[in-house]
Amino acid sequence: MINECLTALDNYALRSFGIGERSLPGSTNTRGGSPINMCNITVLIGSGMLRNILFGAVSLSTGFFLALSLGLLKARDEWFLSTPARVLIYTFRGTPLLIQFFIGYLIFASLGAGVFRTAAYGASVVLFFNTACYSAEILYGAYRAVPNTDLEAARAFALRPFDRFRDVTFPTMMRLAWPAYTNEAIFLFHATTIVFLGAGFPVRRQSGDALYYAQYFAERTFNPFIAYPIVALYFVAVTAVLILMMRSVQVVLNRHLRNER
Amino acid sequence: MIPPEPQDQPVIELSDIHKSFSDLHVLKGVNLTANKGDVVAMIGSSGSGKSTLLRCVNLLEVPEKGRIAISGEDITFKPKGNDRLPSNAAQVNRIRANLSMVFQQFNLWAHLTIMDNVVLPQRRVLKRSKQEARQRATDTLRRVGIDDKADAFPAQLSGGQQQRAAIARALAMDPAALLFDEPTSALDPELEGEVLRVIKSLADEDRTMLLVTHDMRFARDVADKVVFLHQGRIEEEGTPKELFDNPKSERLQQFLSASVSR
Amino acid sequence: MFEYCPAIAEQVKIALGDESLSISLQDRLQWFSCYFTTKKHLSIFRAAGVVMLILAFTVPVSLLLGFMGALGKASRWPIISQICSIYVIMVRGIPDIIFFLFVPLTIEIGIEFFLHKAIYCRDVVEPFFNGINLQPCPDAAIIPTQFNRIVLAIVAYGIVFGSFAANIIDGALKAVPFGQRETGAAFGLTRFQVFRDIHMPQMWRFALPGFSNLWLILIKATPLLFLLGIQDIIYYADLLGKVATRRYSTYPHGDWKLWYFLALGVFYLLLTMGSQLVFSRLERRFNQGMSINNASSGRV
Repeated sequence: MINECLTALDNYALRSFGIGERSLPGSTNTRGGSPINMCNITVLIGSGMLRNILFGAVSLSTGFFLALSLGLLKARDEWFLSTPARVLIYTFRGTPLLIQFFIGYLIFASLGAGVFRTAAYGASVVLFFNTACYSAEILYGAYRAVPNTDLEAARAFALRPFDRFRDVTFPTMMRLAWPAYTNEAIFLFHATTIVFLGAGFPVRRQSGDALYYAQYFAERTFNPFIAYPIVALYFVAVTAVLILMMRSVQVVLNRHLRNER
Repeated sequence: MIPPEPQDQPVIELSDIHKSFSDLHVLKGVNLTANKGDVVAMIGSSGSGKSTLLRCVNLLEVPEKGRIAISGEDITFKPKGNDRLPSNAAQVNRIRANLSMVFQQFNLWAHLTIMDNVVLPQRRVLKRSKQEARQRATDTLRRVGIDDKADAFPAQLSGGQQQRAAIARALAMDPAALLFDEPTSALDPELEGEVLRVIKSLADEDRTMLLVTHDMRFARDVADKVVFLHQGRIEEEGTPKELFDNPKSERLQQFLSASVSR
Repeated sequence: MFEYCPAIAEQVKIALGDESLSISLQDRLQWFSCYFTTKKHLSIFRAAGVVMLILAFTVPVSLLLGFMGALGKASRWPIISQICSIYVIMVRGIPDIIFFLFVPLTIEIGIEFFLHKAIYCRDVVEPFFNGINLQPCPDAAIIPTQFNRIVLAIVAYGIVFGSFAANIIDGALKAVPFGQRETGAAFGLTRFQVFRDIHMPQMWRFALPGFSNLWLILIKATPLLFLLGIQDIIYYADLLGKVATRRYSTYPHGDWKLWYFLALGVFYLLLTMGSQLVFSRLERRFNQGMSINNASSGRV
């Protein structure tokens, strides 16, 4: 049993990135392959999970900067600054992610944009824009909710506009936005599961994500009661870690408030 | 169950009431009686237990120990864990219907118009017909002087008007007694007067009333009997004249001098 | 569709093959009027109707499940309250797509298991549960029809969005100020009356922003029907947008997939925009006479 699992780790731990045993468990490939067992299922789905985490982490961390710019642009009084941001945010928030993936892929394909025609890069770009727009709306709302009194105090002390933003507006804004931003992070992370389910981007050499492998097993064994609960548990665990991480940031953001988490 | 001579029974009779919230012992054996037509004012500093005592009367708080009798009918209890609960929900509802409460925060139902606020409990609890309930509501709203606001929502009214509507809602139930929990505490000073006048006029009608208040002048004005609570016990009780003009206990003296200077 | 279609189709087809011929604007417009009314194109409109139908059935199912979940949480029986508690937070931890894949397959297998055991395969020696593999005997295996798939999709969507709804309803029920309910009790209303006459009517106001958001999420989740094997608008957009060669097609064209998907994007954008308008109007009506209350009465 332990040996079996060690072999599974050897063969499939990084299979989602194309490293390891070529053929998937239970494949009817002539070269053979390992049988479908619990070790293989767990390891391979876990391997796919790494891709979900990577998708989420990359798009969320890069998307934040675009989100901040878009959110602040939307809050500007000048229409030629706010309108483009408004339209972009509205478009991405008003259309389904799956269709964004299709359109993204088709655009990249028509541009002949090399690596961006692969799921790893292309889907990341779409996710980047998608989460940026959702987060921008959250940050925009938070920006508008920053109490005027805070700013007046800053003005009274003659802080320069940039310092005023950095020292007063931005921290308050982040504190207000954080609970909603936590939600956004969770749902973005969940949304990474549709990349490999036929959203246009081709799957190369069966390098997929957690759900791709779960679906593979469920269809191969005709048994949804093992692969899907495993992938669900993986997601529950990672979501829990994500919430804990976001909470600890929240504690730092709120450290000046008493009795509030 | 029907008492032989209901007239002679006290409307409200509490004896040896104990109530704790987790570690905090709020009421430590309180006795209180209100006969028909009595206006009893309960005074005391915040945390003295006066509001909790009032809420024990209609069982919004359930005391761990002690007897509650309303118009001679004893509330029955059953043990639950270390605590106890009323054993008969129907009895509790019947008694609550007979003791209408006016809250500090008015607690008008926000989704209903003033008229519907007054009509709802009559229809549901007293099973009055729609027509009868509306008639009674119109009467009581006129009584408190806001019949012109019948179709407004609570949020569209001033605090004073809301509290008067809440009083109309309580009156419409034709209760054996009215319970007032700091009815003017949430009001701006200029709005207190209109509510106090309504309560005063009710007191003059010989209604049975239990009143928690921090307004000493008002307590003296309307009450037949004043009860001073301190740290969960009744420290002193008597007529307004006795208590306010000649307080015996040191604590009441302190309390009164602090209140006057306010 | 139109009488002139065969002629214009032929004419354009020839013109496409011969660079010396040009196509007039009027011909082009006529060609498009024919192209968009072919049988295949009409089925994309029907597919849009199917999506709406699924939405229309999903909403009541998920509302029902949502209420059951939110109310069941307060159940006296620990088993029910625990199941409902899990149901209420389920979709926060697990991606909805997993349920969309899991639920239909599970139902399918349930039916097959029943057929296997009870009807068709009594003489079969091989067990249904064969290690990790599940195998119904050939007679018991079913292939879902389009209609079956739609029903399964409604069940799956209902369960997932019921969980979202339960979460919203649970929060909204808790958001109703306690004093409002307590006052009902203080006047002698029974628990059921307090729930029906005070708690429920006041809950809607708090739930509405959540429901509005949920409706938008639901609309934006409908493309995933494609993943459940339903021939929805995405299926047809993918099909119709493909290159149509002159040899095999009456209406040849290049790769128009991008245009088709952009059109789908606009379709969804209009749908979400319209919904937002309706909901903001609803919210204004629900808040009528109520919004100021919390501030003026000092209730937090």
